[in-house]
Amino acid sequence: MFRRILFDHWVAIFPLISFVVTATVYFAITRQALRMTPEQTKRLSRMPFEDKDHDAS
Amino acid sequence: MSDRKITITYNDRIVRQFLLATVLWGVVGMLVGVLVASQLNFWRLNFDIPWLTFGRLRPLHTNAVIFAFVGNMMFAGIYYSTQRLVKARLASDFLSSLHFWGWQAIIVAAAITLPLGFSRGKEYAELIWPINIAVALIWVVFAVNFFWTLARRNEPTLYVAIWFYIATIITVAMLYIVNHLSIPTSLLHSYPVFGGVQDALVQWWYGHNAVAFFLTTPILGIMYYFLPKAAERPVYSYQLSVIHFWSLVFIYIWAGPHHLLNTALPNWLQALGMTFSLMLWAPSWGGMLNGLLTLRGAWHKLRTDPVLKFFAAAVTFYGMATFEGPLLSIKSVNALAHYSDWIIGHVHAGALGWNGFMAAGMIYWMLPRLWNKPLYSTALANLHFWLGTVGILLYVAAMWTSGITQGLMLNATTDGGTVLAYPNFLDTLNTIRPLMLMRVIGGTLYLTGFLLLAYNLYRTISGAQTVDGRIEVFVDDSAKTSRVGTVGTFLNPPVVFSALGIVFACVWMFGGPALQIVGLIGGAISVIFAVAHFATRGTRWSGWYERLLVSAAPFTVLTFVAVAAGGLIQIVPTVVINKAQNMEERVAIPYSPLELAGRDIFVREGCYNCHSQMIRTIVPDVLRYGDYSRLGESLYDHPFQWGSRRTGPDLARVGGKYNAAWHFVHMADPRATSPGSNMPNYPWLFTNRTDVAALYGKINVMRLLSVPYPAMSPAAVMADVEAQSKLIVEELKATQQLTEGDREIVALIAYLQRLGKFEKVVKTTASATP
Repeated sequence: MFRRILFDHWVAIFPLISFVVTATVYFAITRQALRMTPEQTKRLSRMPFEDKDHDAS
Repeated sequence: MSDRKITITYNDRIVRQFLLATVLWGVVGMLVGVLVASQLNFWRLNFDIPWLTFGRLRPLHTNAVIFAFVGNMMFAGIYYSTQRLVKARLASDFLSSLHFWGWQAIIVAAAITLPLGFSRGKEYAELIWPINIAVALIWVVFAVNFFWTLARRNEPTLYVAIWFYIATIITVAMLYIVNHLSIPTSLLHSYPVFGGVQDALVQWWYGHNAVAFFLTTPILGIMYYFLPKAAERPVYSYQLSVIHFWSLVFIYIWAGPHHLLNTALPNWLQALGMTFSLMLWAPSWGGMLNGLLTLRGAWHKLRTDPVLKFFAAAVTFYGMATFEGPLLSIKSVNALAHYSDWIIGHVHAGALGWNGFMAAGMIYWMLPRLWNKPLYSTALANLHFWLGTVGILLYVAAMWTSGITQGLMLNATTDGGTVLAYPNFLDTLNTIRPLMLMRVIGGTLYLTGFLLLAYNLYRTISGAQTVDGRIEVFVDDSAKTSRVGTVGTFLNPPVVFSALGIVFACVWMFGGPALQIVGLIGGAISVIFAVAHFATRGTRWSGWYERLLVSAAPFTVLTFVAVAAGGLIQIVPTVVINKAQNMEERVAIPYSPLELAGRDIFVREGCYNCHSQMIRTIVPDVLRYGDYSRLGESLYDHPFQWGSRRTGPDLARVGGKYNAAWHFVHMADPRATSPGSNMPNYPWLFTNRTDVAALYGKINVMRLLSVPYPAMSPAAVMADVEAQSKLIVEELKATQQLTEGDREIVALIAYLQRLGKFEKVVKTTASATP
């Protein structure tokens, strides 16, 4: 089986499997991201501004 | 919610230290870069001094700009932003100091050892094994300091920048450790445990992902913090940053084989590398768009604010480089571009444009805040920007033109594609000389810009009082209870169903006939159950993910799984199968002791920086250099020397092409045999004595690495060396070239004359068993 991975053409299925896995991961994450509420995204995107430093800036 | 209020003073001393180190090493690294670029036009700038040759200094340049310049910049930015994003001081001042001084000691060690020729012979992984251990230790110090700070945080939610830092720390550790696995032969030398195609794959899994997780992800994290701060605008789309992060860290790891297209690497791996590199375009541009669109409503500030100029240009160059990368990963484009200056142009568009400009913008933004004093000169900072931009454009335009010229000339054929149009390699080199000079000018302009930054920094901080940031926070102890524990990290629907799917897929792919059916049915059932569970209880999946966002440890574990997957799938089969008994057509013959000594000299002098040893499976390569390279021919090469650049011709079948005298004269003065060559002279090879005493130990290490040497006593090794040396000396004497048998030139000639020799294997049909 391992020998076929290196030398035979049918291993072209591996890129296809990898692509399907990647697409699954991508769409799962996209779905999760699109379900974020506006309040969540607003709060998270404002996090860099929450550090009111007591310094020259 | 608790009303316990505390005041936190950030450790900005360490940020200031890393910032200053960034500027120092940036100037050093770029100066070495300008020198080595100049050497390609003016070979005399090698000065006939061993520690100043291109082959030894180019690794110093790459290591300096990657690990010293970007490394220090990354640490400064991570430590500054992390403290503020998690509202906690760095966990340990001691670890912070150890991290800083340890990293600078590593850089100094590299700056000493690399010019002295102590090299592992692998790109961006040249440092010798004691320094590798130091890097790993200091990286662990960094990781502990970082994750300990996260554990003590007063802000439960992890901002996306923190995700990028987590991915960086975990993945760089994985990549660095695996690619630096070596067996020492002495305190200053080792052989990598991987050889041949294994080493090639591991090297470029590391090399490409050093770009990804050292030069890209931490800087993206820095972008997600500093760009909004500088523009005073929140990030354009936090949702886009979520998608961008996960798709980037998952896809990037698979792209390594795009450095090995059209080589002896198995086609399925090349296909994976190409397709994943193309897919990588999308998440990369997700980041670019998020960065640029964050400037909506703030574009007018670019007119006067040099920080935003640098950031906007940096993100633009990032977008350009991440379009160019996938383009170059297409096999047909790569057939033209590989080994040429186009790749150098691509690298430097990213390095100078993205990394360098992000560093400059971050430094100019931080300076006034860390030293409580306005920037000395905004005009100088603006001048820096324009000098740098013109420098980059000159550099990149020169390298694009040069690279395409090289590719077209070297691949050009006539007479129906049967004869090379430019058979003399030097014709191409001479054609691109003006473009190489233009590159030097561009690089010098860029360096000048950074010298202006250094001056601006010096004038700003002179007489200034340092200041550490402070903040008052309300501590919310209940937040810690909502985090995911260890059990929850693994026993949750998405992870369980994914694991089941992977297990059954492996059973289907690697099992015998009966197990294949089990794997197929089990996989199908897993998918059906996962879909049904999600349809009925999808909120549990979402709830788990929401809790993940406030749980650093589980997040880290899953990030590791995401980045480990690609490496395992690409590397494990090759490691298992890459044995002599599985090679078809040709298999390597182990180097003789003298040839091994010569090979180590080849690695020491960094010859692989200009000469490849891999004839690709394309017609022009075969017409120019001979039959294309087979997998088995480099089986015992520890390290592999396939190379990634052809400033000079490929050497895979140079053995026997010229006589010993030709090599003798060529190494003394390359222009004597090849008029117009830009290769340095190597006079010390004629006076240095070959280290024969070390060969006994080296051969024993090779035997440990499964290279089929017979057991040889030190006396047998010596006798073998003397016998082979004698033959070469006599051949040289017959052509009036006189030398002693113990000189390094004899060993190097032995090695060069050996290249291209192999043993034929009786062809077998593929069997069904591993």
